[in-house]
This record gives sequence, structure tokens and C-alpha cells, in this order.
Amino acid sequence: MTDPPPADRATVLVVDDAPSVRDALAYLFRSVGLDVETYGAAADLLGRESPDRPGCIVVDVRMPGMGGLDLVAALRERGWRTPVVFISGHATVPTAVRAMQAGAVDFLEKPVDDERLLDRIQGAIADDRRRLAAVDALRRRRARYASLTPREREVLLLLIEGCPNKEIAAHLAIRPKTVERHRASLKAKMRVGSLAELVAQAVRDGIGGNPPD
Amino acid sequence: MTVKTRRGSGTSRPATRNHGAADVAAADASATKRGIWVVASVGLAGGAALGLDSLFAPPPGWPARPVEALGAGFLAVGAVGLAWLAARRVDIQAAFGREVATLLSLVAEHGREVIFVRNVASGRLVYCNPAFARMVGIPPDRMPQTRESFLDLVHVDDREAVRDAWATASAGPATVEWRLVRPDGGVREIVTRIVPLRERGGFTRIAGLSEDVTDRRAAADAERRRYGELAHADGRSAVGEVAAALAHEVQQPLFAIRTYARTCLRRVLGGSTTMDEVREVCDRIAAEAERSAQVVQRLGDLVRGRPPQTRRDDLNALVAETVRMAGPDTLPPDVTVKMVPDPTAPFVKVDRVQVQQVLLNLIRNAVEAMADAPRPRRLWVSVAARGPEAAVSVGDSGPGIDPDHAERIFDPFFTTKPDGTGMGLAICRTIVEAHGGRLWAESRDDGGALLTFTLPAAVPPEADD
Repeated sequence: MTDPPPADRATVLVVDDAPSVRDALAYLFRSVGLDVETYGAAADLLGRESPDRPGCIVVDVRMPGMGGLDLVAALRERGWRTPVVFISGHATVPTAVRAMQAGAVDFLEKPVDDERLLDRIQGAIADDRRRLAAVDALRRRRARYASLTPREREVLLLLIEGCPNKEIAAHLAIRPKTVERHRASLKAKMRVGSLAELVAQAVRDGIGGNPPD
Repeated sequence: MTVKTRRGSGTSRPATRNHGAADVAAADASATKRGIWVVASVGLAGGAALGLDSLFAPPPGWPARPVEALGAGFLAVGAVGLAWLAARRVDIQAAFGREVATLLSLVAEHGREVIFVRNVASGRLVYCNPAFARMVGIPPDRMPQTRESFLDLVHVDDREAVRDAWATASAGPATVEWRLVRPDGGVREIVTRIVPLRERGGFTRIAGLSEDVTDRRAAADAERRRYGELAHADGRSAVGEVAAALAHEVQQPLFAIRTYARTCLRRVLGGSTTMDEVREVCDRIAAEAERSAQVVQRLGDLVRGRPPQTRRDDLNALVAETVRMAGPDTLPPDVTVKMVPDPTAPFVKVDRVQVQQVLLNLIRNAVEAMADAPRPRRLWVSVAARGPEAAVSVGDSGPGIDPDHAERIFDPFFTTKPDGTGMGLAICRTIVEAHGGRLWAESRDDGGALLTFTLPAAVPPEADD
């Protein structure tokens, strides 16, 4: 497997109070081309910026001070959406349930099988990659929407409502030819191939109605 | 009737027994001898009154209860006095009057106490009572009369001790423990006190008082075994807790070892590794294996009760680690634990595992004490410098300790829990004291219990290492 370009390389954030486990996990993840950051305590990770690269958090449930569950809850509060794989030495059903509620993608019991762990990590990273891509695309589209002129926005809103060209022209007191020009400009700025695509995307992104997110 | 007198054997029926020992030719009864007889009769009467069955002094090494010892003392004096009188062929009736003579005879003939008198010079049996015959398991008329023939009844390994006791009897009262081999093959453990009887003509007879202690010892042994089992059982459950914690501790290096080995192997097989990398990974594997071996060794030492392996340690870290080890089984989720370290606490020289065992035990006790306490249930574990010592306290928000129990809770077998063995705190105190510290309990001002143990500060590292 060829390493992806650095900007897109995934990072695994390992949080475990046991240095043996931390170091061994770091070696394991680096061996498959992942970047690794290790943290000996929950508080250390809380001091970090939310990651902008794809990745995954591997955290021990039981640690001195703040445990894994509380750490993840705190990260979620700060807006982190990075997937989490919990590792637990003494898994109990209530702990597992709490972990999944806290947003764990997985809950593995020690002793953890390294290949299984790698599988879960890769799965989690793929999820995160997709999530980040979607977030990125949305951000780009938001920038494009922001680049529209007031008149283009008016045209777009009427298109979403299903108005034909003539109606839009009448409504806005402009010539149909001008509506045509605005439509072409909209498709170009929003980088879509067709009117249907433009409308579908705008609806999905919450333009004109209540935003979905 | 087994008393050897000039009158020969009489009948064994009690009705005639007030003659057996008593109805012998009267000797002169001086005032001093009369005094001895009074002591003898009072002794026998006292012994009888205190209960004949259970009043023998326990053999050496067994705890004597005062009443028992007193009764045994009475009996011994009385019985020896009686034997002396019998041997002197004194007319007890003449000396004491009929009632006392009857009482003494009844005691000799019906009591469980085994009484005999033997002539030192001839070695022959002068007198023995029915209890003697019952103990030996031989009818009175077939009782061995000579010393040597009696030795046939003594376990071969004990004959020398019995002979020695006879030989040295003139020096003063002696006690000999021996095993009786009865004709039916049964072996009984006997304790015999031999008392020289001094008479005007010198030392010619010995009197003996024997007791069959077989059953009592068996019962005591059983009790001791039970005690041992209980102590071991509770010790094991405490060890079990530590074992679970250590299993967690050993899991980490084992996980690391496996991960290093498998990852490295994959990389070697994939041809993507260097010799340096393999060397480094092997070093790490060796270090982790060493770590797990140490954990296992400590566990083994604990189970085998080996001498503690002490080293200089940071008590704050040790306590924090132990609280973490306590785990959800020991610490239910709704118990809030507050750990209060003290950076000024001195380092201590301790056996980590043992101190962890103590702390886990105290934490478990505190949580159990709070089982029915109102919520929130709170647990404090604090470290504090305390003069030349470091102290660790475990406080809880439970009902506290009954002042009557504050010291007794450390006694073996003392427990207020229906399923407790009462050994936990006793073991804890033993461990703490073995470290040169103290463990005590007190009530917190707001009602909960506070258990504290101290550990002496370790000498500074430059002097220590």
C-alpha cells in the first residue's frame, strides 16, 4: 500500500496510561503507515486542537484521573467528531453501553487482537475520511453560495420553488433573457451540470427551506 | 478392686469401698499429718464441687482457664493426699470421721480421675482406682502389677520418658506425657503427674494422677485446623483481589509483547523492515517480558508468604495506582472516590503488593460499610506527611464505627458482616506492623469511619541505594 500524501494521512491518537501498551500500539499503527500521537492521560489530549485530518482515537476505558468515557464526553462537547475505539481491560456491560452512548465506534476487550484492532481502526479512519470529505464539500459549497449575487440568490430560490423562467422574470420584473443569464451563471458558480442537479443540491444543503443541519 | 493392701482385693462395689482406701490400719496421726488430711479432703471436696469431669489442668501449652486450673489444683492436692493416706494405710474414718471418708472414697472410686500409687523400691502397684482400669482397658484383676509389665502398655517410643519420670520422681512432682497402647489396640494420649510420697521411712512410694487427653487434644487440633483454614481462606480471598489487580498489570506487558512480535513478524515477512528495527523491537519485547516476570514473582511471593520485598516507593503513586486497581467490583459506580495526595509525604520503603493488599482491603471494607448508607456515598483516600512517617487514610460516609468495636475490629474472627471471616483487618494490621507502621480506626466528625495506617519514611536514596 502506498502512503497517501502527507496532508491526507490518517492520524491515530492513542490515550493509555500504560507506557507498554502505548508504545506497542504506536509501533503497530506506524507499521501500517498511520501517523500516531500518544497521550499518557486524558487531560493531555484535551489540550490538543480538534484534528483536521482523518483519524481515530484509541483510548483505554480505565485510567487514573479522567477515564476514557469522560474524556470522550468532554471531546464531544468541544465539537470533536473523530471516531473512538475503546479498549477495556475489565469490560462490563454497563461500561460498554456507556461507551457506545458516548459515541464509540467500537469497544474491544483486552487482550486485544492486533489484527482485529487494525481492522477496526482502518474502518474508523475510512468513516472519518468520508465524514471529513463531506464536511469539506459542504464548506466549499457554502463558499460558493456566498459568492452568489443577491439577484442570483433570488433566482435560485424561485427555481427551488419550481417557477418557470417566465414566472421568475415576471416576479423579479426582469426580462426572461436575463433570467437565462443568471441560470447559466448559477450552474457555473455552483459547479453543477444541470438545473436539476443545482436544485437538488440546494435543497439538500437547506437553501430556501429549513436547513437540514 | 485393685488396691494392693494387706487385706487383698475387696469387692468393687461402692457400698464396700469406703473401706478400700480408708479401712486400712491406722497410723499415728500427728497434728501436722492431720493438717495434711484436712487439705486433702478440702481439695477433693473442692474438686468434686467444681465438677469432676472437666477439672484437670490442661497439659502444658494449652491455655488454662482459671476455674479449671483451680479445680485441678484442688483435685491434685486432694487425690495425692488420699493416695498418700491409702499408702500409709491410715484409718481415714478415725482421722476425719465417717462422712469425709465416705466422700473421699466416692471420689476415688467414681470420679474420672485416674489415681494410682506405686512402690518405688519394688516397682509394684500399690493402689489404683476403677478409673485407672477403665483408662488402661484392663480389668482390675488382670492389671499388670510390676513396673516392667506395665511398660508393655506404653508406646515403645515413650517408654524411656516414662522410665525417666519414675526414676526422677524422688526429686519432686513431675509431669510426663505418654501414649498408652491399650490391649484393644487403641492408642490414647495420657498426661501423668507423678508425686513422690515422703514418709517417715523416707521416699518409698509415688502417687500418680493421670488424664486421658486424647479427645480434648483432637478437639483442640480440629479447632486449630479450622482456624488455619479460615485464616488461609480469607488470606486467599485477599490474595484473590490482588491477583485480579496483578492480572491486569501483567496483561499490559503481555499485550505489548504480542503486538511487538506479531507486527515485527509481519514487517519482516513483508520485507519492509531493517535489522535495527528488529533489534529494537526484540529489546522492547525482552523488557516487557521482564516486567511481567516481576509481577508474577511478586504474586507468587504473596501466595507463598515469602518475606516482603521492600523498595523505596512514592506513596502517592502507589495509592493512586491501587485506587485505580480497585476496579468496578470493589468500587461501585455510585461511590465517589476522592484521592488526596500529599506531595510533601516522604518516600516509604515497602512491599508494594502487600501495601496494595492492605489498601484494597480497607477500601473494600469502607464500600461495604456504606452499603446501606444514604447517597451520595463518598470515599476519601488520602496521603499525608505525619512527622517522620507517611500516613494513608481511608474515610467513608457510612455509619461509622461503634466505639465498642473500634479496637476489636482488628481481632481475628471479629466481624459484623454475616459472611465475613473477620480476618481481613487482622491481616492488614499484621502487614502494616511488619512494615513498622500502625493501623487504627476512628470515627469521622461527620459520622463515617476513618481507617489510617502509617509507614515509616524510607531513608534518603543516597543512604539507601
